[in-house]
Amino acid sequence: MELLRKEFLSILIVGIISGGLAIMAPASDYNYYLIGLLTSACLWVIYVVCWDLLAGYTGMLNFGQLVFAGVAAYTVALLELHFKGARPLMILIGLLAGTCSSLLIGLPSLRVRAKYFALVSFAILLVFYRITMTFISIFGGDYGLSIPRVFSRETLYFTAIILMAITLISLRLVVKSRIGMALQSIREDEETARAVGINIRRYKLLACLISAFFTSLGGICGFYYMGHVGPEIFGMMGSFDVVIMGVIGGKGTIFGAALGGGVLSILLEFMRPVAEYRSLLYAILLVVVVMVASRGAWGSMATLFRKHPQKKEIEGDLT
Amino acid sequence: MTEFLDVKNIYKHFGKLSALIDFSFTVNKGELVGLIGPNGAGKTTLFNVITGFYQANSGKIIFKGKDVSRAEPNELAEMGMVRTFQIPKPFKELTVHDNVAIGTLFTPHRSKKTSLSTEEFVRRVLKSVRLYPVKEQLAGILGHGNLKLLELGRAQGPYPDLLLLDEPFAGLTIGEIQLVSEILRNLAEQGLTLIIVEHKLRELMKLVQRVIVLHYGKKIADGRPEEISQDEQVLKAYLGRRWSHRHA
Repeated sequence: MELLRKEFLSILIVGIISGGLAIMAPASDYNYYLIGLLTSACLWVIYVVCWDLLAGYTGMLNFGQLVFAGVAAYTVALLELHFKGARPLMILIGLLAGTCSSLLIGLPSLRVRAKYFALVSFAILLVFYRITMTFISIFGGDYGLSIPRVFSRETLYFTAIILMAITLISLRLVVKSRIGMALQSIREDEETARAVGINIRRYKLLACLISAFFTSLGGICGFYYMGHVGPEIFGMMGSFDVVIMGVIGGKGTIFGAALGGGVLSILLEFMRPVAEYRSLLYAILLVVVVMVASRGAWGSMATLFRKHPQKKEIEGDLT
Repeated sequence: MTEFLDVKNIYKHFGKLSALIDFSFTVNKGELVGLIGPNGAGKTTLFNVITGFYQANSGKIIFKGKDVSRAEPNELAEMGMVRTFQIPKPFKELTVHDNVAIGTLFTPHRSKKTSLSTEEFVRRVLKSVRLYPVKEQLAGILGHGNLKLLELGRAQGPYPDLLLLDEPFAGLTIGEIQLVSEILRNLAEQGLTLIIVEHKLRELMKLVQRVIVLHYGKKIADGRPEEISQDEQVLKAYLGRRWSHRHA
């Protein structure tokens, strides 16, 4: 397929990085600290690129990206605790629940304008937080839900790497296809998009479902790694971190978001000694990026290396 | 023979304001029709109703023999009816090329209209609107004149049969207006049907075969350009009662 050939380089790079990450496990003699750090980095990459599909491509600024992961993780956790069914089936149901949860933001998005969509997505995050804290007998309140370890850390580490690679390549192919063009046109101008024949409802919902599908995969993988899911997944910190990583990495390129998610999640870990100032440093970084390089790290690099500068006013000479 | 576009008894209210009152007109295939009227007459509302952006309160719209009164704009584009906007609404962060090409992607069944490949078709459209040299630039950096041309280019993306153009001359210089007129004439020669809303009457009258006049949501005249410019009601609407009494 032509698209695959065009994206060959991207796929190759994703493959090399994934391979490199996979080797880290035996190379570090299965150091659980390192494996844990990199697993979480892979999951952050998944969350942030999925956010980028909505915010960067479709113009849906989602402040509750981890709602999808949380719904999927809680579903799997409840199934693990209360039903002794086949595990693949449980994971499948969790995945389905997480994916469908995107309709909660997808359907309102058909009716409200972009800036109100951000508010709606934030409200839904708060609602889920409240639900988990209110129905304690079901969701375990503050403690969340825990299960004994079922998969080894190594298995989950390799799973996370594979999921990250699949997510990156899939989303890259999606945004370079007809679907990606539809999403970008919706971001740019919904009325014009409709005027040239794009069914904006269908494509908005599609973007939500795709984004939530991969986010749910990450959420389930993260749940099995921790053996635990708690209300903090619906907390503000997590989903806002996704937004910050995406903005700093660079919206609308997939790879910029991946870079932001990967680098910042590891940086976050090294900021542990100054934990109290973490949010402060993060916020300052965000302000600096927004002011100095509004296209994010990736966007700024792309501008630097572009052969023909785009900022050139074209006027007149029509006739 | 059924008409190409048949607009029947359209009413459109916004609260207590009646924007369109019992408005009817028909357009035949291949016609070049002008739609004029003083500010606030309901021209843009009429466009919004025909192209599915607004729903009429009552009345029917028949396009190619099908009732499209409740159709969505994208469904109409798939049937070959495409509009432009008075104030250009480009996809700013996409290239000029992609602005035109995007329409071809979502109406692939309509590509049968031409024997050209998609890429050749887009190139021809870009050349016809004189934007081929800047095809790799982002649309957001174009000036007003080029944006108006891009509107014309983008509207041709979905291989339309009927174009509704909302003030294609607005804000253009004399030279640019001549260029746009020429482009529109070429489109008509290719067999497209055009409905043009315009305020620059002098240029419009030279271009179109028929003129429909709107005043306060009602049709007050429908005829050949030379008839319209003599019509007393039209003069009254445009220039006021006293003027028409003195000179008519």
